[in-house]
Amino acid sequence: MSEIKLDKVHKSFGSVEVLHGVNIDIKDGEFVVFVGPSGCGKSTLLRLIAGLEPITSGDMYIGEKWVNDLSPVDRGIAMVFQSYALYPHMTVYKNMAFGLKMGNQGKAEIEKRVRNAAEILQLTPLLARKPSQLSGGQRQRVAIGRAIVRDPEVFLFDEPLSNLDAALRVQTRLEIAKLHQELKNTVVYVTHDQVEAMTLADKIVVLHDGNVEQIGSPLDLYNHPANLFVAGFIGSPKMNFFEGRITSIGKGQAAVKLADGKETVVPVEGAHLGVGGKLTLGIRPEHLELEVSSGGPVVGGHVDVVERLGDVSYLYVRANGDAPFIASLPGTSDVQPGTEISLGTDPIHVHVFNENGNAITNARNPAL
Amino acid sequence: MNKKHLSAGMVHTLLLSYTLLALWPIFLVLINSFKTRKAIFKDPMAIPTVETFSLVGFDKVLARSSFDIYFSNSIIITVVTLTLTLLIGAMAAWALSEYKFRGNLLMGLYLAIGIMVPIRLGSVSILNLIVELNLTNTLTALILVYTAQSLPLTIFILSEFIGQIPKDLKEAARCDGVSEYKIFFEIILPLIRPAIATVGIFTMVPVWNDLWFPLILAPGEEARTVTLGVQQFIGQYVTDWNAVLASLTLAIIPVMILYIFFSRQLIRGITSGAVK
Ligand SMILES: Nc1ncnc2c1ncn2[C@@H]1O[C@H](COP(=O)(O)OP(=O)(O)O)[C@@H](O)[C@H]1O
Ligand SMILES: [Mg+2]
Repeated sequence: MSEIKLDKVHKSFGSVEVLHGVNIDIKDGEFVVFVGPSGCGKSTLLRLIAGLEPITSGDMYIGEKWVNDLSPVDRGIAMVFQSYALYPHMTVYKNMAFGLKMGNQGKAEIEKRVRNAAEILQLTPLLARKPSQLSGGQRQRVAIGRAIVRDPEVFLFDEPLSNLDAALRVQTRLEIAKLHQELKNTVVYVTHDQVEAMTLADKIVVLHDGNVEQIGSPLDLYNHPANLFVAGFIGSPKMNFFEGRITSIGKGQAAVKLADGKETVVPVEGAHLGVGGKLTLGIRPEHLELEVSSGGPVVGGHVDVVERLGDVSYLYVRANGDAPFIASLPGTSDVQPGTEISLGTDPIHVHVFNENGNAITNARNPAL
Repeated sequence: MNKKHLSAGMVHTLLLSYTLLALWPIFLVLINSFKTRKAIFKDPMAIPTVETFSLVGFDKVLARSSFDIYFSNSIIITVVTLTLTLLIGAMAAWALSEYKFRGNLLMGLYLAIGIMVPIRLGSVSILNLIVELNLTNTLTALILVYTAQSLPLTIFILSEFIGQIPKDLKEAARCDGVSEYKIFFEIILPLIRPAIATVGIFTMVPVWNDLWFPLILAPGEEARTVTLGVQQFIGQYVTDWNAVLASLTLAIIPVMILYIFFSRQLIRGITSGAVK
């Protein structure tokens, strides 16, 4: 069993604290992705789990064992580094066998495991080559192979795809997903790319400035972002935000005056709100429609640019009273740049955030 | 285009003429060591001919003196010093650049001083120390002094190189359960081989050529080195040029072999491929 539990984990480098009390529970066999902007502490957190850095305070358990003081080997982890970290003077075979030799495995057993991993990763013809004779994608696979042969309880990946080109990235992403389905190990995967996170994860941990902002399944985060940061980070193109002030509060709804002067009614529980309070409405580009219906908020402006991707078109709109926003319309719509436009959405799709940036439950659809 | 060729040609001419200049004395030593005494004085620039050819110098050096002992002394001192310096130096460089411990910085500064202050300034205290240790006229004395002399620069250069090895490589090895010693011997050492070869050459030459410490620490017959041994042919009134030139010619051979060995490591290291 290899569940992982982090309990109030703090990490400081000198006097600078980079992780401020992280609590995470990871189930056995789960694929967990840490995602967040660059510098938010993802790698540091992963290295704490690996045992490459000591924890400043807090507790960590892997499979019910308290591992704070254990070395990387004793934690039963294998790590794939962003730079691949292949030993440049060893062949592919030796790269994969090196760690096994240290574990005092029999020669036949080592050979079997390396051949097996090479087979899975299609590396068999490359076993005699040096890393410098491999392409980026092949090196990446060797790095993964080196982790597989050790048959670890937990796989740790630190931005494994960031050095690959776009096509290879998609392909390798699929391979990693397949690999996880086959091996069923626990995986902790770090990335700054929310698309990778959404596609791979059973569970996503969103980090920001050393704090966990939200933990949940990809759809959880998409549908119920807990705060402005998560709302803006998950989803592509990112969610549009419109600021407004509450003008009146009714039962299960509040009237909000947006920056362009228009009033709209949003379905929220008004208990903690006061008239005059500031709210932020969040609407995903894909939820904005040309047909304005059902009494939801309406936003409008001047279309600056239209990006046609075929299946969808992205409209970059300079809003009348507020920050610019993006709308994603079906590829069949023929909106031209330079025109004025008005877009609306169903109230169900409106995310509402209070002054502190935290989400307020949408009364019309709390379980959305 | 033309200009570029010209400048490359000029660079080569410059380098070639410098090489010629540097090799000229060695060339003179070589040709004159195969000539009769008379011919040496008559025309030092001449190539040995049938009349002037003579092996009398080599005969004197090899048959009628203890040059075999001097030679083996020099070789033992150089090789043992090299081994100790490179091994201890590389390990110390690894420790200083990899592990953060109390006194790390202080130790680095201390070594830097060792680079800047010539060890010969301490000759008197070194002599006292060696006498007290009862090591006068032993190879051990010279080996210890030379190792001490070579270590600071070795550590300084090697820690620079070790610092350039990506952190990920060491950490990947640690995740693989490789012990710190194995990391050093099987990952770090192979990767800094070119640096080790360079440092090896730098260390070897002054040790092989040194006259000072053999003179004050080990002038006795049985611990004499080649450089000191040559001196017996240089008298106050007469110098046996045949013997001097012949022994100098012979002295080139071992350094040459070591140099070839190291430079092959250098080239192999450079071509063994990128780290990433
Ligand atoms: N060894 C270190 N010493 C000092 N600060 C560090 C060290 N490693 C990381 N940091 C700091 O910790 C923060 C988080 O870094 P990191 O975990 O690498 O971010 P991420 O992987 O999310 O981009 C950064 O501000 C970085 O400067
Ligand atoms: Mg990182």
